[in-house]
Amino acid sequence: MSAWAGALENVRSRVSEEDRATISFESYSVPDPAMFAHSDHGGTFMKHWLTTRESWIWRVTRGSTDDPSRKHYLPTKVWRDLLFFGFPNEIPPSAGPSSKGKLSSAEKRNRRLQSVRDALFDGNQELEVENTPQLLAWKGVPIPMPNDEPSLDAVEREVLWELYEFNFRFDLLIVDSQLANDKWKVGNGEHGESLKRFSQIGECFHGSDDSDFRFLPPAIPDNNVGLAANKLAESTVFVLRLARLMLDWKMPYDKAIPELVAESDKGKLTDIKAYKLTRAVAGAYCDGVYRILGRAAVTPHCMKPRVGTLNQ
Amino acid sequence: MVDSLEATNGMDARLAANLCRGVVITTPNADFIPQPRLGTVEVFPRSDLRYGMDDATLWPQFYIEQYPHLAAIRLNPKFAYARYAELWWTPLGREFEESKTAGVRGLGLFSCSEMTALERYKEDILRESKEQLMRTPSITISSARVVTTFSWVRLRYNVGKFEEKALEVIEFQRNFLELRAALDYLIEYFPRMHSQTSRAAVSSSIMGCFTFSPIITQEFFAAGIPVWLIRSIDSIGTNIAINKIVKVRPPMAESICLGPRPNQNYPVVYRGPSENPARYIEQHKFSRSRYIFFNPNNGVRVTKPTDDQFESLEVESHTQSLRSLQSKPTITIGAKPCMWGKKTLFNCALTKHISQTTHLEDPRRKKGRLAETSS
Repeated sequence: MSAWAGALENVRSRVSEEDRATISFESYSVPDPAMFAHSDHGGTFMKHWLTTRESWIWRVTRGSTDDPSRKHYLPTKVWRDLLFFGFPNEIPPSAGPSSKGKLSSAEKRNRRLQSVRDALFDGNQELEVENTPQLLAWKGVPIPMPNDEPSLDAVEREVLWELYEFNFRFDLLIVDSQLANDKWKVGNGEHGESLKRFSQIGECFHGSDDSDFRFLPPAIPDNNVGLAANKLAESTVFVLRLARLMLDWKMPYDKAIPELVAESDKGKLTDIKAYKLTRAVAGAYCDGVYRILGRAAVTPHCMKPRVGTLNQ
Repeated sequence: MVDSLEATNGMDARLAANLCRGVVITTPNADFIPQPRLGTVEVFPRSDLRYGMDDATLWPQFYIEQYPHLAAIRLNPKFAYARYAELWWTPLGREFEESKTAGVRGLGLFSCSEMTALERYKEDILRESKEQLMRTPSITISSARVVTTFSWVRLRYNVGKFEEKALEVIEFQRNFLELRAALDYLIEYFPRMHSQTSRAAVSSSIMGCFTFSPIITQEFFAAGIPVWLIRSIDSIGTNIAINKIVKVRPPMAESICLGPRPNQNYPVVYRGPSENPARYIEQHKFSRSRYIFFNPNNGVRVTKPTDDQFESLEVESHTQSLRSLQSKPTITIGAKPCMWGKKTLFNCALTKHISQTTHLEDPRRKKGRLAETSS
């Protein structure tokens, strides 16, 4: 995955100052998994995420008719509060501003959480916040709770992988729909362009040939697969599909992408060129995310450690 | 009388019914004549989340050139234990299992024997369609296969509110039935249309369709697909044999729901002439917009009308249609689609069809006559 890690390093310098000025705020569809690693409260974050995961995934995947690029994204600091304090079902009533007209930090936090709650429940009268302790489970199996504390070691890797993959896939959808917007026009009749494009994006991921392929939430694999496959020959299949999508992106990208895609069509892609293509695709993706979402990309990750290589 | 159908390749009538003065419906092979959906229609999910008479899985539709396979959609087997009966299952609240790990009450999935059956059907048809595509590539089948897969995965794995999941069930059922029909049409019915062997027996287990075209009538007759030809009475003359005159059969209330879904505000997905293919295309768009998690086009739909608007519109448009059929046919080439509240749209479209189709000499009939003459 070093190609993807390298692409993240220089993304800021590759996006022009003019484009950077249009960037608004850093936000994610589901929490940035890096938060779990860089916080002393990783266990608390994990527990709260698992008790609310299904409802957030529902929120993101149920679709929206307006503001497609922002509707499903929440700012990082809101995610951090949400994962630390839990689901916003017991927010104390706001006391309002002080006599000086300023809000305390606790008040500001409460308001943020209330806005999150509104985002989730707005217009959904039939949903009701669960006040009783929630069953902690992963993939339908309850998580053991020795001494009333969840034993998360066995599931931690899979939960984080899902967050990386979920973010990557959803961001790819949004970025592609903005940078190749003419490919998403709903066609007249059965061959709607948007469905066709969505299918092409799905083909960038392992398992897309299966009849039960799930784009979101992704199925948890046993091994390193798809763009994160251990063998270059395996990952290149998916990199090439992603590269073909990028040819439609209305932004500057490495010329190596069209050249190497053309070479691949002629059956001439060597391992070195395949790695070069991977780097170019990773770079273009990180640039695209930075332009559209204004932040570093969440990149594909390995499920299992690779022998003899550094993992992200 | 019925025997003479062979001689005219289906232009004779096993049954005929008056639609209105001067216009009749005939069928060469069906054993009843359903009431066609006429006039300006509004298509929206009804109380069972299906589209009532505008739903190709419930009632015969007008032939659409892009989707001829709709006529091969299977009929509801009517009894509970028949294969495919679950494809007309309407979910109930008690079959909805709420998630215990969502953090909120009200989100869940369906968990019942019908879902198990649907999964089995899905496995079978995806395997069959994959094999078919390997033999003969077909955009219609590959497209129908993709949407069937999308709708299944969403239904099976993504939690949602009861209403959302119930709509997903209906959409999966419809996608499945369309894929089934596309396969049947391609493999079974289409080859029969131009076969030199004797005509196929009519299949009583598929929907059939209405048409204004004598050619489609003849092709479907040859294939064994129930077909109903809407024609001017003048086109019958003395050469067409009619076996029996019957009345058109309206849909039975217990099999087709017409009222709106209680406590829901579903949009009207199409409003316009009933024979316009857009009526069906908009149904596709409505369901497919949800498969990709967001709407990249910010589509704006017309809002749902109030109940009294809905009633008055349908009554008015049906009366208009009948009146227009009674009037002398006039050809209006390039008539634009119907607008809300306008009164002439359906007239133009339908009279054009009738004028063109009933006064045209069908080339194959002409050829047959020439052959008879020369012999």
